[in-house]
Amino acid sequence: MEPIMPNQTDVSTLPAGPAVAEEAAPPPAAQPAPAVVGYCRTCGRPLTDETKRYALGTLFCADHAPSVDAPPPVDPPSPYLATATPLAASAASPAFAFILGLIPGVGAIYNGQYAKGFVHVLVFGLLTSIVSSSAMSDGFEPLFGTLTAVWVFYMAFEAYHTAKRRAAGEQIDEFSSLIPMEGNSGLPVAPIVLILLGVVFLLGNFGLLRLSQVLRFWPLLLIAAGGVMLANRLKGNSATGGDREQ
Amino acid sequence: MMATLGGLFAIDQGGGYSFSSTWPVLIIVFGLMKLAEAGLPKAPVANQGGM
Repeated sequence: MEPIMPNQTDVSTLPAGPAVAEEAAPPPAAQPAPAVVGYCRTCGRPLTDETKRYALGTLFCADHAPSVDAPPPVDPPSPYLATATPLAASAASPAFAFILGLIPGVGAIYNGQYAKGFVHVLVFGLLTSIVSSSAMSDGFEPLFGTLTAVWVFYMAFEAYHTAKRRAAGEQIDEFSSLIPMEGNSGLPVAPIVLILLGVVFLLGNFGLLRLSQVLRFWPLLLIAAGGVMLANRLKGNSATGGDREQ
Repeated sequence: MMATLGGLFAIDQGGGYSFSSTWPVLIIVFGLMKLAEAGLPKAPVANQGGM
């Protein structure tokens, strides 16, 4: 016979009477705790399917859910599309955001846009790396040095305007006010340009391409930009039923 | 992006290509990410811009 632990009841020794069996029967097994599907963004309380409230792109408990009626998402939202929590109007100071914006990434973080802050830091680091890299021997110091300075002020002004929108109670997204990734034609122009730039710089860094030779063809950028603008204008005219005098 | 950054630094530390040579990979990866994102359906809370 196996030894009986102190907190165990040997059921085989119990009498068969119904009343006694009811007293000595082990307590019913506890109901399994409902699965935690997330945590409240405000108070951190664990949430289940019954208690969770989805609003502004994230989860809240019933006590802290904003009064915005947002439909429940079909799929989990991408972190790149997550909506920053709007703060109270008095919590956003545009002037303070401008000052913090002079520090790479800090202005965006102040506005609750952490991913954008990371992008700001990354771009600033890339620009400073380019300035200090061997590619500068081709005489691009003025270009990238100016770009670095402009980027610092861009971050500050961008943080200022975002804070101003927050102070006005507007809803901001994680990547607000940055370069639009889609052109008017719906073609993702900016990602394609980024990829081409990356390939050109990569080939240049590995000595497979001389950047100075590539930059000789910079007027082609003006021609391409003009072509895109012309195509958009023609497309806009045709969409609005404008006259086509050709 | 973080994985790519870590990979490039790991290659740099491992004695392979230096980060000063491989940093354009970050731009390429970012462009590819945005390109893939543009092709995916947007979440219910859609943003106005990109990057």
